[in-house]
Formats: sequence, C-alpha cells, structure tokens
Amino acid sequence: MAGHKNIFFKKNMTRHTKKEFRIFIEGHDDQIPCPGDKSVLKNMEMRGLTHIAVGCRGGGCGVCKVRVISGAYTISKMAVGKVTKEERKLGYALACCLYTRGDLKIRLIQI
Amino acid sequence: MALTGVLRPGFAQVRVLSMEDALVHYRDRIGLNVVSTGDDGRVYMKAYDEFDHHSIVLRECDEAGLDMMAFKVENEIALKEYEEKLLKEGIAVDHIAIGEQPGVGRRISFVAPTGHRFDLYAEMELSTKGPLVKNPDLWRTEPKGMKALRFDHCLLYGSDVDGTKKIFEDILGFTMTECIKEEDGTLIAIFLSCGNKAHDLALVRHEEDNKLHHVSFLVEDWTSIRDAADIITRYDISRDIGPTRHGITRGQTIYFFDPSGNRNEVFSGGYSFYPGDPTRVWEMPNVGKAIFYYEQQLNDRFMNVVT
Ligand code: FES
Ligand SMILES: [Fe+2]
Repeated sequence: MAGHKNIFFKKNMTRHTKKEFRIFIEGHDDQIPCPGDKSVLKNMEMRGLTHIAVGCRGGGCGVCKVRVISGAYTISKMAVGKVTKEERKLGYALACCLYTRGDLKIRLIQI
Repeated sequence: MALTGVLRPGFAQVRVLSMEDALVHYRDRIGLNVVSTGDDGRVYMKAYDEFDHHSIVLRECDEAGLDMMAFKVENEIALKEYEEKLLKEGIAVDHIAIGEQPGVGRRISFVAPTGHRFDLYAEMELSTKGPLVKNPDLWRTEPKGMKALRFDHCLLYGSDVDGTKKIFEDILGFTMTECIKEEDGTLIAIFLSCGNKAHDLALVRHEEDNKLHHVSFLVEDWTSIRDAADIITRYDISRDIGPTRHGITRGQTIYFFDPSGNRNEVFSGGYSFYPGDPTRVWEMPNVGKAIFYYEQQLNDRFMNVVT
C-alpha cells in the first residue's frame, strides 16, 4: 500500500515541478495527465473535465474537496475549517490547492 | 432630503490566507492603495477616490471570509441613538475603543440575526492620500489595476434574513430597494440602501450563517469592467462570471475571487434610489434575469460558493 504522502509547503516557496504525472479517479477509467505546477483543479478545468466541482479556486470555499488515496503531493494554504488537521492526515485536500509530486489516486467526495 | 443617520458603508475587514498574495490582488490588481500596516499585521487600504483613512482591512488568518462590515454614521449623536435603539430591541452591543483601527473613532458593534458582525462609527481621519480638493485634478497619481473608485457594498449569506432586515430597516433607517420573493412571500434576497444608491448591503437566504458572498468595488463605467476582465485573464485571477449585467440594481459587473477564495465584484452603474420610491420585486421564475440579465439563468457556483 503506497499511501498518501503530503509535503506541506507555503505557496510562495514554489516547490512545484513542471514534471507531468497521472491522476486516477476512483471509479473512473481515465488517466488524467497533470503537470506538477498546476493545481489538480486547474488542470481538470483546462481539460474540460468536470469530476470535481469548481468554486473559488483559492482554498476558501471548500467545494473542491477530495481525498487522496495514494501518491505524493504538496498543498498550498487551505482554510482550516474546510479541511481539518485530522482530515489532512487522512489525505483530504482541496483540489484547487493540491499539486502532484507523483501519480495520484483520488477519491471524489460529496460535499 | 439631506443624507442623515447611517451615511454609507465605511469599511470591510476581510480574512485572507496569505497576506502576501492578498496584497498583490487588492493592491496591484484591484488597484487599492496601501495606507498602513498595523502592529498585528492587519493591512489598511483605500481606493484612490476615497477621502477616509481606509475602506478595506485585510487580516491574515487560517480561514477566509468577512470579520465585519462597518458603516459610517452622521455623528456621535446618531451613534448614541443607534446604540440605545439596538439595546432596546434586545441586541447586545459591544464597544470598540478609539484607535483599534488606525484613524477610526469609537465603534459600536453588534451581531445581526444572520450571524454577521456589523460595526458603526462616526469618525474616521482623512487619508493624506485622498482625492484632491483644491482645483482638483482627477487623481493624485494615475489609478492602478482595475481602478476601483471606492469600496461600495457587500452581499452576505445567512438564514434569518428577515431578522437582519428588521434591524437595518427599523433601527438603522435602511430601505429595501429591491428583493427576490418566493410565491408565498418568503424573501430570498434583499437589497438595502441607506442613501441614494441602489444598494449598500444585500442579503441572501442560506442555511449557513455569517457567510460572505462578495465584497464589491465601484468602477467608472462599462469599459472599466472590460479592462477588469482583461486583467483577470492576464493575471490568471479566478473568475466567477461576467462581464455581464444585473437585472437587480441594473449594475454592470464582473465577479472574481481573491487568492483566498473570497469573492470580489467590480461594478458600474445602477439606478439612483430616493425615499418614497417603491420596492422593485422579482418573482422566482424570473430570478435568472434578476441576477444575470443577459444569461437569464443562475449558475451553481454563484449561488452556492461562499466564504
Ligand atoms: S474551489 Fe474553493 S476551495 Fe477549492
Ligand atoms: Fe454586488
């Protein structure tokens, strides 16, 4: 079991990588390419994919919440009320603040 | 009629996740001037065409949203009067000392039934960077970014819209200029004015209390909305909807989000409201046109995404 690995960082530290990874969405067949320097949500939007709801795109509203099942990633600042510290440990993240550092498996959740 | 009582929206204190990112947004993109930074890190800003010390306060926090919206009242007498009336209605009133924000006199503060905190104050120092008054040129230095003229209004979400409406109408002297009504008379959205503007505060019925829908800034005209849209695309600002127009207020508008997910609007136009004007009423089947006059339909994000 790979598990999720989340590397905390500040938005401006730009540890994003341009390298392209793949995103798998649980229950869906497609593999979605995603460069490490685009948020998962932004990447989905640019590809016209609508699996994840698009809200503020800034980590404030919480509508893009997903759960990372496996893979390495980083997250930028998210509102704590939308993803609690405990949830973070379980891989929950806001897709608009989520950056891949490896192939990711994601679970959609109903808000 | 002379403008008395509550004069206008004064300032909004907005929570941001990253001050650094927020500054780029509010200063460089919307075009506000930074007036000062407090010891506690709060940043005080104003639009170029505003006289008072500040109209937007940014506070770094691990949550987005609105701390409070404040209104400027005519004078100390009015402030005392409002305090008495609020207390008489059983609404708790807090006192905020002079100088809690730089340049601002004493404030009274209450939490409305929709969960939002509102402050009232009578005094604010003038900014040294305010508009010119002697043989006044248009501006001191050319406006930046979206060229916001002023902080104009907020739209807030909460459940007991009727309760907050009652306070603003009965105690603070606001008038409902426009509303969206369900068939059974339930008010879904209300637009309240304390002066001659089409709205100074708007409220929408929503199950969660104390939510911010947007903080709005006035720009000069429709062309400025286009220019704002250009900036939004160029700098990859998160856009919600627009350029478009509202049926309600008739304002021309574009909506976007700050880097913490708080929605902003820049808008122009809108009708003038005078005491005695009847309330404009939108019925639910026409709600699309009421909100977005050209699209004639609502979108989920606009209706449901709040901070
Ligand atoms: S879209 Fe608002 S938190 Fe991601
Ligand atoms: Fe507005």
